Amino acid sequence: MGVIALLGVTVLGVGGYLGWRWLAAAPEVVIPSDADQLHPQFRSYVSPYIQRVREAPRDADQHATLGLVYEANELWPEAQGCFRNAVELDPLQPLARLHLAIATQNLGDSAGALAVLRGTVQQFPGFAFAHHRLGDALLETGAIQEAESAFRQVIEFAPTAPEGYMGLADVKLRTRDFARAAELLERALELRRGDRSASYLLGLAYGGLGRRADAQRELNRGANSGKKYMIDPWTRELPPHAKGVPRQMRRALAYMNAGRHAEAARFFEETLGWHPRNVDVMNNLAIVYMRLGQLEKARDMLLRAERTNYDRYATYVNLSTCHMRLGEVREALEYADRAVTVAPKVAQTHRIRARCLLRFQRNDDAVEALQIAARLNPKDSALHMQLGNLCTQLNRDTEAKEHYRNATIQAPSLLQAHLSLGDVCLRLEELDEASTALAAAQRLAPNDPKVSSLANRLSGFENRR
Amino acid sequence: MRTNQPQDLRVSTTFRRATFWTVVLPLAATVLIAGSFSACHRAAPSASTGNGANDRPWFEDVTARSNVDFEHTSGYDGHYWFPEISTGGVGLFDYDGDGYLDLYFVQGGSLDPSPTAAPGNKLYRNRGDWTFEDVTEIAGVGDAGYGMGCTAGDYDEDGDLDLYVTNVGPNVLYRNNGDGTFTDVTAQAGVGDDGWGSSCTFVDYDGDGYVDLFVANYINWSRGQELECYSRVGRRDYCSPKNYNASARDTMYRNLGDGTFEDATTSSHLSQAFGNGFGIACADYNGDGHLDFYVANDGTANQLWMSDGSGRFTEEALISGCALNHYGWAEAGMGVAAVDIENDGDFDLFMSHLHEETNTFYLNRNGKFEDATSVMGLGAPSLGFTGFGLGFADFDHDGSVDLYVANGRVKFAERQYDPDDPYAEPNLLFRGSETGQFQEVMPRGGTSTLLAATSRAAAFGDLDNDGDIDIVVANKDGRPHLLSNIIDSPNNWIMFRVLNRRGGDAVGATVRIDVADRIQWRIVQRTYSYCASNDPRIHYGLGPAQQVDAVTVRWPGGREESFGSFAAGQIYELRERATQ
Repeated sequence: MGVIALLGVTVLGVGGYLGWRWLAAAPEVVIPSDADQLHPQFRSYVSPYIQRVREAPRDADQHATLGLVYEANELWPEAQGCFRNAVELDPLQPLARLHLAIATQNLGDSAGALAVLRGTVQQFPGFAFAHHRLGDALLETGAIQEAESAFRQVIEFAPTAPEGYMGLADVKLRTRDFARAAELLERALELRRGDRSASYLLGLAYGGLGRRADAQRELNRGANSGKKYMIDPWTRELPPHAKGVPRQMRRALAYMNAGRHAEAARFFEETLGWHPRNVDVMNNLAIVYMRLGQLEKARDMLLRAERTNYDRYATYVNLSTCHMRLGEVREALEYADRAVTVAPKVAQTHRIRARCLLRFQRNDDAVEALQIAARLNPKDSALHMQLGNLCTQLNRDTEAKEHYRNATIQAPSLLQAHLSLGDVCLRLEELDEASTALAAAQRLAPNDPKVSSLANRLSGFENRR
Repeated sequence: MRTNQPQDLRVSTTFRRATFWTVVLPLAATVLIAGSFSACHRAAPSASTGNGANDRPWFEDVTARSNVDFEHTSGYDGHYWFPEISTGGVGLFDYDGDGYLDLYFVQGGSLDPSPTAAPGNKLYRNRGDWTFEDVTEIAGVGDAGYGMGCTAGDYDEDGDLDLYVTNVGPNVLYRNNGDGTFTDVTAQAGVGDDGWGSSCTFVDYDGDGYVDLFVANYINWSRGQELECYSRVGRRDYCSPKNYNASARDTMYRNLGDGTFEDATTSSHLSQAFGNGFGIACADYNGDGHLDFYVANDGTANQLWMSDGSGRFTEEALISGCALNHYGWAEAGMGVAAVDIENDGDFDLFMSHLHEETNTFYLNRNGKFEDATSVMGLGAPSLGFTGFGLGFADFDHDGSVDLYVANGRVKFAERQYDPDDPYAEPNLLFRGSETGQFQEVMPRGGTSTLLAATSRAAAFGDLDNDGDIDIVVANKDGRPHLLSNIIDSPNNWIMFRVLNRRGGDAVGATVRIDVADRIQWRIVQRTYSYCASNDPRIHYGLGPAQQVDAVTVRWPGGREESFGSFAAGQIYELRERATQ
């Protein structure tokens, strides 16, 4: 009897709760307060998502999807409102809580985010994504012991994900237990080879252990990696929702870099439709047209860019390239000169001018232009190589040597730089430096036939002497 | 189900099925708990996270009654020229030798190359009573270049302070004539770097007795390189330095002792690295007796130039752990300061960063730096702000240094503190403690009224010589904030002006004081913060102590000298004695 009574009470309770929720007013659809100031492209994109929420105001998933659209575009107050609605309508969806915490954190409310995350892991103890975010948030507040516990939970519930090990290693680094941190990070790198974040932290651990060479190697590998979170399923959905120009440009450039020029062109054309005065989009679109062989279309687009903004050097560099490919060398040089006038401190403008000058056989002027470029951007090993090669062609071996030497300094792992340096030193009969260059090349590629060839020539030269 | 869901969402659906059996049924009997849990998350998040431990203001904004009428303008004309977002420098230096710090404001102006009546920089003489007199015209220091920062130093050793101004374009050196006027000697001195200069400092880097000049350069930029950038939701906005990929080299000018300088950028090896330099902090970071330079770069790896004592430097930031943050990311370094937070005799580093990056504190452990931001309580409170000028000082004289950070966005954001200025943010004040941890002081920023502006440089010094540290904040496209320290503290203080044998401020000297059972270290420095020149006098809060038991100065070069005990509540001079 008691069991039946308890069951009855439970059923009544659940029924009452569901009835109460049904009768309660649906949460309001979250619309940006300054919607009229947002870019038309974004307004156009978000409108159907808002409409879907209006049509189904009690549907947690619709609120959450709208929240993701806002999150992808960094409209954090709106995202927070949507995820809060989603959590209210579906308290059993942990991802909505996770993204509520993310939005709250991005609004600068660290304490609020921590409260949401703590509640989430309490209710969903196996939800590794929340444990990881919680561990990180705790580290930010200096609660290291609690963070350690959170990262241990990540390892327990997501043992194949390196993030738990990296988080725990982070704790160990902060408590100066470098040996344990190194172990954990080596484990993380076993789980995800080449993870640069893990490499950077490992570099710190090795540094703490006094292993300077190992530290330098791992720090270099991991430089500019940054903090990474475990990527939850909803975060994976974000990229297509991002409608700002930078994100769209990145996507289009990714197509370009992958050689998918037609898709890149479509992307840029669509973006240009929304941003008809964006010179960067025009320039990139023109580059894609050039790669597609549509040179006249490219030229027209670049002329439009010039009309839009007459003092952008990139437009003139691209115009020069375009005319060069059209075989209009005189026009190419004129645009290169214009690029130099507009941006005299940009190496690229001098480089493009040098290319035009070479077509006119004005070799010495080209060398001079490239030398200016190299002074402006001495880090550019390719530029030094180009100068070296040009000087070699012009029998200016002493200068060529300097440029090849600079290339080896800027790019110590560039085999061709060492080989070219070795060659020119041989011609100059500077055998010591040729031997040094050869040794560097042998370290990089001991079995490369070009290295063997240089070695043989050097050996022959020494024998003749 | 939500629309447009990729397959990955199946993970969450599966998760939901699992949780139904493990979570939903047990919860069914406790529906009231679920309901209340849901309700509790309806509470709006609070934007401020301060501890509210002190609800009395620490500073009073006295700008309105100071006669300082300077109004900064970035020259914004709808083009979003990149320099507009970072201009705004300020310097405190006693140009007329009357013992009071005068004010020099660096103006932005206009990037339009057509001839216009561009507003220039301004110099205000301090009358000592929190009123100031505009002496720009008489002094002849109203450079109308597009200004960034400034520093003061006696480069010609004639006993008065000269002034160097950095611009987007040629920098300017003003020689102090000693009679309240200055002469532009840029060309004859050979220091008119025409890049985009930011912070700068006069320091004797090669130990030859003459102050040299280190200039941080931000980026190789010209109008022709300008790009169009947008916020995430498509608003036109300022670009990031990363958009240009045009990092610059910093410049070292070596003082030849005859009124001229030579460009020593290459011979000092500074030419070997590039970055987007904004902040400079000069100190001996590895205790070898030589002054090193740390440069905070915006979005590129910071640089730690370690001196070998012969005028050459090696860049060691990455291996030393202070090039990138704890996660290997090149943060947007703006302002920077060297401070010995642990009072262990070595100098730590703190720098301000972009919104969504924390400001970062690097603890110095025998020349290796460890990111200790979060354990010091400085991480989370800074996440929502873009920091620029900053400084550590013991504002309340309790014996622990406090921290002030001037904020102002560089990117448009939805939350706005000022409807007329989308880049405005409040500044932050943190109270330091003996444990090395910080807590934000409320009211926010330490003033009774919240001051929200697009703050850039912040300069620190005792403007009224009453023994506490005041602050001057330069605001982009606005009037500055002159913040008078009004803490009514029962604690004691002491200040020293530390002079080298030639009578100049001994920049780079470190000073240790012993008070009861505590030790405190400071460094003589004018340049820290962001595009600012500060009071070089060193200031200590002493708590209840009535005197300092011992003072030891470690002069640049490593020689140490001891001075006697000093009574609290006064400003003293410590002068380097000739070596035996």
